[in-house]
Amino acid sequence: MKFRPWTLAAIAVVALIGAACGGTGTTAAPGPSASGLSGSFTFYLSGDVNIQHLWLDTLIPDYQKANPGVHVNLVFSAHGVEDVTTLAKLSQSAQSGQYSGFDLIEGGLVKDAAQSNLLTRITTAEVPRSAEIDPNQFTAVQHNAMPYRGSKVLLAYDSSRVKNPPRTLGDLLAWIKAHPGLFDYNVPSGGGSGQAFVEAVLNQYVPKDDQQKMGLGYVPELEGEWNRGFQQLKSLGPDIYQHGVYPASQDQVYQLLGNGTIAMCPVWSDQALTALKSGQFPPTVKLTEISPPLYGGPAYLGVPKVTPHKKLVFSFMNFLLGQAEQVKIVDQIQGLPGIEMSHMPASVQRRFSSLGTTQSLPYSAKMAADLNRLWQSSVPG
Amino acid sequence: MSPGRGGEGALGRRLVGLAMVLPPVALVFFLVGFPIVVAIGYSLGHVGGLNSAVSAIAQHQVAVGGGIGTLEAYREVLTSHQFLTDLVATLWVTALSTALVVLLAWGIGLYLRLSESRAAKALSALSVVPLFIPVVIASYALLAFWSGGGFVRSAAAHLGMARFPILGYTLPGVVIGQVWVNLPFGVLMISSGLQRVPTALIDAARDVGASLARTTLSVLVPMNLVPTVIVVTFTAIAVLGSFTVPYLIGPTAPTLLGPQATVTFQSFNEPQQAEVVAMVLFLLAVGVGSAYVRATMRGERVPELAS
Repeated sequence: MKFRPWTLAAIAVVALIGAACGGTGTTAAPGPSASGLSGSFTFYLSGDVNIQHLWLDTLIPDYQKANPGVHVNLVFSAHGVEDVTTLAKLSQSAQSGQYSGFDLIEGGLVKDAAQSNLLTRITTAEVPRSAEIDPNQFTAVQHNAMPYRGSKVLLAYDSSRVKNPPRTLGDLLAWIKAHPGLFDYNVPSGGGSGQAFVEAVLNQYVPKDDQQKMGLGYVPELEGEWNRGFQQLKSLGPDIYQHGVYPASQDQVYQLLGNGTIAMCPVWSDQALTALKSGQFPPTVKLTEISPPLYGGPAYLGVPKVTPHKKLVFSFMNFLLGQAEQVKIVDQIQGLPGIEMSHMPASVQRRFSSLGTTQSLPYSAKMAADLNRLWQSSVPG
Repeated sequence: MSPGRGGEGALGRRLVGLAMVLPPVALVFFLVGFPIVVAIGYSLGHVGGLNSAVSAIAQHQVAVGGGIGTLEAYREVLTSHQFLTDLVATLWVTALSTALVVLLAWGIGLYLRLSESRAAKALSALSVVPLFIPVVIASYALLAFWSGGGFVRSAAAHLGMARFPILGYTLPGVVIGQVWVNLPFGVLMISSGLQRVPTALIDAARDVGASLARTTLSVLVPMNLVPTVIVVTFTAIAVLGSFTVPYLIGPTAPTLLGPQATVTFQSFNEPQQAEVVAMVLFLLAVGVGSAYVRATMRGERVPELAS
């Protein structure tokens, strides 16, 4: 086949462009940074898009600027769709001693991985600045993961329609019955805000010791204690928005509150403050804590047991706990800092003083999976 | 193959043909067929070997040492109240959506065939528009349109109907979504089948005094059985296995088997039970698909009408 001259020229141009574009996929190897660190590692992130932006726009570029020799590969899984398969890979890796491909993980799966002993133990020897974290935050993960930011679930209400917001869980349940159709929560598997509400209702009938056991391990034999709570949630159904509609994601519930369809719902503190800032919630929306408090929790970073880049990952984690980065986390996603409030500047301490300091312990990952299943079969429909 | 060729030439051509077809067949086998076989094994209780990664973190799974396997996981899922209500919901939503798609596609196809007006052409073009809109966006749009404060309810309130039903987060809403998504394919298939019917046949029927309904029933429908069967099959299989529309628009329970399998795997951490639900869907789809294969095979034996 004979090629015309212009065809050959076009092919050559396309080939040149292709080679140039292919070259930008990998960063050119720069010299080692002042700290002497160089290399790259893979970071698996599972969660919502606001967290993805936090990492992509702020934390990772800051670290790479301070350590020009290091490159962070971010693997993002929206809302945890890849969590089960990643957890399986980590489990295989811990058993066989082979590298799983991930050097650092963040997301809902970290707690499960920590409780299943798939992660490296984190102490001040590995990450010196972890001394500034409240030691209680390590209980749920037994030091196998490190918290770097936090959030808690609060009650958001439209102050123009709710003059006296409920102060206790009992008041809240009575309010729902008295105002049918104005409260909603998402399917527990679709977001922590709905799940926190469900856990609070169930915990009314679970003794404190058992609650602690459910938070730290997997005790399916105690699930009978949930029956009364599930019955109460089912009886609440007709008074929920649209006679018992539970949206699949917590974002849809926030939209219902934002456009005035409902008057009250549980929200994550960081997502609520971001929504107030961006205008998704009108300024009449206010936040309040109830007693006993809905759960909250730190967001954990975990390091798989088998990884060749431990030094890089530990330096990254130490960097994140610095006051400058913690202030950026607070500013960008309105989250609570991972280090104790006393290490933060006074302006941040003032901003969060109204949110209260108490939070309940959430259930362990396996208990939460059973909760999702039992809720689905006993409450809706 | 020309007859009378030497035996070696024929064998060589066969080998070349086999070599050309081997790569795609091997690809389908290794990426689709083999994983399905492994997954069936997992649902029967074989948790080791290639299934050891997913079974390491699974909860409530049934394990069996060797042999053929056990049907314990199937028994557990198939007798659970939730699965049965979901199965009933899936079957009636599929049947209703498919019936509506076929009726609407035939209606639009007939209108386009029997009337040359611009309105007919506009209608058929409009009915293909959903093909170009991503399903996620369409689902959110339909949810907002049919919700409590949406367009339909607001318009009905203005017209005096204060208690118009809310179709967001309900199974009828899912049916509307499924019809919206699957109508373009139906319209394209049926209208192209109808266009192929020679006008002479329709005129001949009208000349001997047949009414429009009779013409349709006796001439157009029999000649378009194969396109209709294709539309029924593809729509039914698409709705059976759908996820986005029932997940976003549908109720929490009962829901369709697609979202149910997903949530069983991701949120309940029960991959084996999710596998069982997937097998049920697979068998339902095979049933629908075999009807299609039988119908098209029978269709090919009908001699072509001389045009």
